[in-house]
Amino acid sequence: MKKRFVTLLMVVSMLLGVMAFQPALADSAEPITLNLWHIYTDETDTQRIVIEEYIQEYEAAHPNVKVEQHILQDADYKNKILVEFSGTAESVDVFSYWGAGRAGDIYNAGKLLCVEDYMTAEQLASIKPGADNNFKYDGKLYGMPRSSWMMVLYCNTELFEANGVKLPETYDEWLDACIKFDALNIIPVALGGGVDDAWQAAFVYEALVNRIVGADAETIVLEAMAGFHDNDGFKEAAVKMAELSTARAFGKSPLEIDEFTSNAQFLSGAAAMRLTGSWFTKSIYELEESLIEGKVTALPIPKVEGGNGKDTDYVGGIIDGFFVNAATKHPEVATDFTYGLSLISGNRLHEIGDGFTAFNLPVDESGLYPLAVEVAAIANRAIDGFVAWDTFLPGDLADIHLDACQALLVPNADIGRFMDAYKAIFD
Amino acid sequence: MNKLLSNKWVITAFVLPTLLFFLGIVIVPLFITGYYSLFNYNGLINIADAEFVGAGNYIKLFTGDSVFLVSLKNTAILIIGSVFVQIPLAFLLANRLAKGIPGEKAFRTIFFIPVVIAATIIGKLFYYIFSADIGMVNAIVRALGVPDFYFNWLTNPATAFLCVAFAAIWQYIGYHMIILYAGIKSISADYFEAAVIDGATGAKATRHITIPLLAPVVKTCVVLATVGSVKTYDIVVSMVGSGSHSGTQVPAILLWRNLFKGRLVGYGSAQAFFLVVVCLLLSYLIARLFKKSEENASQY
Repeated sequence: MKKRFVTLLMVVSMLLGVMAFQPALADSAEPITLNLWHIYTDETDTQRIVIEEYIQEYEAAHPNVKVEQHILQDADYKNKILVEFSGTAESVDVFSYWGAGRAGDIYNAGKLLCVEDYMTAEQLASIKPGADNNFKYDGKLYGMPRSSWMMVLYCNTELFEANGVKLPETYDEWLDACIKFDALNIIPVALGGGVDDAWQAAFVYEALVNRIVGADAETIVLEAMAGFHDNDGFKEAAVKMAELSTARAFGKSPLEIDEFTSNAQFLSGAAAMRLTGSWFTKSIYELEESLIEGKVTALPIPKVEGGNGKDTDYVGGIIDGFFVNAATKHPEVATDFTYGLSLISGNRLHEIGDGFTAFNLPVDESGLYPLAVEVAAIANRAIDGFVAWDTFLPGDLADIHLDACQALLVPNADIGRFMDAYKAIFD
Repeated sequence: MNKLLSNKWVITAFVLPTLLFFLGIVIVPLFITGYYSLFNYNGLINIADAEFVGAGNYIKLFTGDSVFLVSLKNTAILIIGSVFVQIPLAFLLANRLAKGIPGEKAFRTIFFIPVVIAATIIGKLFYYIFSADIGMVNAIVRALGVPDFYFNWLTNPATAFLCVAFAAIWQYIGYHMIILYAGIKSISADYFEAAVIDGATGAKATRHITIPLLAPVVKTCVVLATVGSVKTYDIVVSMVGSGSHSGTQVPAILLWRNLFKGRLVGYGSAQAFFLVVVCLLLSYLIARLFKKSEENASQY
């Protein structure tokens, strides 16, 4: 009860804080309808709850504003938004989307609103330095960051201890652990990289690139879209991923299962490890099918001996957020709404251990799950990172990357073919 | 009435709405697709601002896109399988049923059931047959005395598309069977009675009467099977997803990925235009191929 009261107090104070940061909007009685597009279809999801609550608060504070939600499942959403922006996207005012290359396509078409032009100095200053890097084009802010995530290796400590396997700190130890678990008929790393969840395969490759190439060099190559084939580390990462696949580190048929199944494998205790984003923490505590609460530790991505990756390098960051259509009839109101929504959802995600807020404002960390505290400790040591490539690259190039990584899950993958695939992206 | 229908203006008035409709939803979009295919265009900007690449997208189809070439190979496998496996099997079934067997109507319905089931469901059913972990095939082999047998039928590049093709071909056997069955039933019994008098029964009658007279129907089946193979999409996605890791891509999936996911509207349009041309060309070639058989059939 006390915890709920404190949470309620925090939400109210946060809302008041948001209101305090808002610019003085024209107190017009003109009825305004804001069309908000997003992907949070699950009504029990924290993001969805935060959005619903914020809309209620915003409408109460601005009686002339009505917010209409348009919600689609992720894959359909990505297509639908682009179809909308093939025209003027009249029915879109505010929309959740991914920064860098993906939103870059819409920016290049001149269809993103420069939100910076409608924000106050206080609002701009409330965003953490660097948190908005993927939302800036030509030095100006075109989208609102929300929260960052970080890739970690979740390990079922009970399985590790019961089978005398060392928690992996290096790649060699990781491979060794995988071989041992496979011999025991325990799925080493739960990974559903098949069907349309190729991003999970890409996660493994990106983790290895992070440790072998290093975040600095990785960032230079990705941002310049050049130099991939000049750095042997990218090839070595593929070789190592293929080595893991051949050792059945991801089970016997990772291409046949999806993310949902791989989550279930880990949550049920059938798999020893899960390499995924920090958002997974709350599933361990909140999902009914989870049998592993209190039995999991979070580790950084294993280091690779001789690799250029530093202990402070990480995979993750801020890439998804909210954007405003340049053709909106109400740019001030839309920007104001978007800022408040981003701030509240970023902070709320931080409070439940789902991510790390992009804003400088105070956040209540008292309710963090123990595992979220562990992840936060890893995040606090992190300095240089890069987001998932498929969220950074434009759609067509992201598909090439995802397909190539998926092919590395086939035993004895063809590395030459893998490297050739990237010529379309980097040459 | 006849006078009315011989009036060209009346005919034009009747035909015009359909013609305009056809022009609006087929011919004009086809030309627009052809026009877009000449640009490096993402669909988000004005086409006037897009880079003109001429035949660049078509050159890329055959020189810079190995996945597209794999998809063409897969389409060829589907066409060959449809024409040389699916239709002959459908003919054998249709011929047997049309000759009259106990439970003819029931069998006719049973064989047609897969056609009325959505391809996505058929895809999932075959997924449960070929899945490495939970599939029937691996389970049967293990039950037959190979306890450690484990094979990734759907993700091994050597077998993945063959499994998909097997499912796609199996699903539409009943479809062609119904068409051929109706064709066989429409052949006058007089021919067969005359053949019996001449001593031609069974396989001989099938070879010299049924098949020649069925040529126009077979042509229809071949056209439908060929065009259907080029358009295959849903069964592949539901069995193995839309990725290219196991060499299971087909042109329709690439089209969808390029046009909608990748925003390669120009390049995707080139693929679409190319496929339309291929479909038209194949239909023409099939028509030419069957021309003589159809003429012979009409002489009976």
